[in-house]
Amino acid sequence: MNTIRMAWRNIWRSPWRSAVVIGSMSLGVWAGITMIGWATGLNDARTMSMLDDNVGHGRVQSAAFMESQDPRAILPHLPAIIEDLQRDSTVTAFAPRVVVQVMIQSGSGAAPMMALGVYPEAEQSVFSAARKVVQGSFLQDLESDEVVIGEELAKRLEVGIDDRVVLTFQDVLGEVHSALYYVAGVYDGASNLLEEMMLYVPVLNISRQMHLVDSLAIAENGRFPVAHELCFRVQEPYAMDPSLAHLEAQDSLRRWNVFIRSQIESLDQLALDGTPLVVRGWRSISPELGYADEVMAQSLLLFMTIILLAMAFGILNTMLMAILERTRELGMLMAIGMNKRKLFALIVLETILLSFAGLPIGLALGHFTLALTAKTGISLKGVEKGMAEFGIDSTIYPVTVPEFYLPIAALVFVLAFLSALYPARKALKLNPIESMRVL
Amino acid sequence: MALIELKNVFKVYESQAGSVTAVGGVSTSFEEGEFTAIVGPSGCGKTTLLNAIGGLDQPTQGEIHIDGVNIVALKDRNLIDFRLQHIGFVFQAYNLIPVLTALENTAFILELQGVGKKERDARAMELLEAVGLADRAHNRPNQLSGGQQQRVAVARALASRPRFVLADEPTANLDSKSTETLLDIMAQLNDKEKTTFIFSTHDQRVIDRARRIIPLEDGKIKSV
Repeated sequence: MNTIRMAWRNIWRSPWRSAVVIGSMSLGVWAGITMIGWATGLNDARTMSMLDDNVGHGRVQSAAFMESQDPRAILPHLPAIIEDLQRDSTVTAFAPRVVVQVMIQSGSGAAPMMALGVYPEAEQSVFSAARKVVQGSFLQDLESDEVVIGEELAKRLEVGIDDRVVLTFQDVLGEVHSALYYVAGVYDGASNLLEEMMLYVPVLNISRQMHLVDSLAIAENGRFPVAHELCFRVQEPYAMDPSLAHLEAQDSLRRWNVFIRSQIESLDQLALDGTPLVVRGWRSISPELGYADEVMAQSLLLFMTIILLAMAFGILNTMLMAILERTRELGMLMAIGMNKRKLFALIVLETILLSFAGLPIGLALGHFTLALTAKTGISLKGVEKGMAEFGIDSTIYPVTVPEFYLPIAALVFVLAFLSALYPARKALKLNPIESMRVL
Repeated sequence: MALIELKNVFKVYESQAGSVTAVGGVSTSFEEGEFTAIVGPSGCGKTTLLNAIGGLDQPTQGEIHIDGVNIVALKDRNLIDFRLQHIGFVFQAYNLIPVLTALENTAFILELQGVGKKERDARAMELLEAVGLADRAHNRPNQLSGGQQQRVAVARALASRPRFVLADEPTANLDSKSTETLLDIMAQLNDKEKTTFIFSTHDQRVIDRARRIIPLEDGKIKSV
């Protein structure tokens, strides 16, 4: 007869009481796991929406562009990089972009913006914002003087399709240019902020005006002659570290970076057109999305802790009742020679077993609920509009969260141990003779 | 040297109504292999004296030497261990552990002592056979009669081969037949295992079987 078996049998001395505690623990864990799965599903949907809309899953940029958005820092050997990217089986689509800081003006106002010089077809294969044009159409070619702006900006500047706007920017030679563009389309972005921040122009139109590219380069570099960054999508955005490592090891990046490092050592300076190339995943490109994941995980664990803490008080109460009912027996155990360490271990074990009995049931129920709703989805039609503001579909698809099971088990263990301390202390303070007098 | 030696043992309870002397200066000794009954009417201090000998209750004054060790001077932790290693207890209300079988109850003390399962189960079975309950080894206390439970309690008390067994009114809750059976068993074990038995009782059937009687009155040994 070991202590664990004795503790287990002691739990079942009051089967109904223990069943209620185990049942409530199961329900608490089920509710917590389900809530975590739903919230994670919602957060994943929001993150995916942002990635799809504009962030992308990964980007290749030069270090100089990444750090200072210097317009001169275009990607060297772009065709070679694209070739490497296309060879990577995990990469599903890519879109080169030129990024320029501009001021947009209409008859009604002006606003600082980020102009994305895009290759329309490639852009639409990677980003959904380019596909969500609600008025007019997206850009059709690489050279026209058309612009696609966000809905919010269109309202603010009071412009519509075919209206004229002026973009003002500084070229790589330091001269300020102003150019007239026609509004070809209005897009519906994932957020209002995005719509007020980004506009699309044909890549060669803006590149020529910026003096980023000349006819020779256009002729030599084929389909994609110029870009500041190369955005791409992968099959598994939540597990893209191997893709990033693989891309970094590709010839186009590796050889260039080895060459650049040797230049840095000899010249002791960084040439703008000669900085290393970096491949970054979305967590690095848009750290706030990664932080949101982390904060969400921590908040959910905190929420789970609160649920389990409430459970712990119930368990503490149950154990106190058990100690009270078994005062005579505990006194006898001490009288015949059970020392305090063993008595403490017995009570702690009873508490932990009582708490843990409900854990697998709750986890299994939670997992089952999430697996089921992950297929069917949960419709939130009532708040459809609000969710759309954040670019999230009104049907949430919860996800199973096995990564939380171990931390939850550890939490249950710690809380059970803590809730055992007071009843155990009460038991240890019992006097054997006085306890055995209790009827 | 006597197995147990009591030197001028007092136990005084203080209360708001004043002090009550439960044991008032008892000095006596017990030799190995004794079958002794401490007798007297209710409230004469039998149980208090037994508890003091068993290290369950601290005397207000005096010394209790067991195998030369003054247990009054032992710290609480050492006293628990001393009880585990040297003393067997049989209580009036049996006090078996309800979730354990007769075999597990009997082997419980041995488990506390850290004896291996095989050895403790063999010893427990041997004792259950001795008390005539081998066939009930796997029954829990609620499946046994009062007499049977007390026989398991005796088996438990003897499992670790203690230096002596203290039995507080062991027959108080038993009918005549069960009492006789229990006394027969204890007498046999006293003969066979040379275990010292000290009873507190006012049951004449126990007194008749005791080989030594210590009469107690108002907390003092009455001179006969």
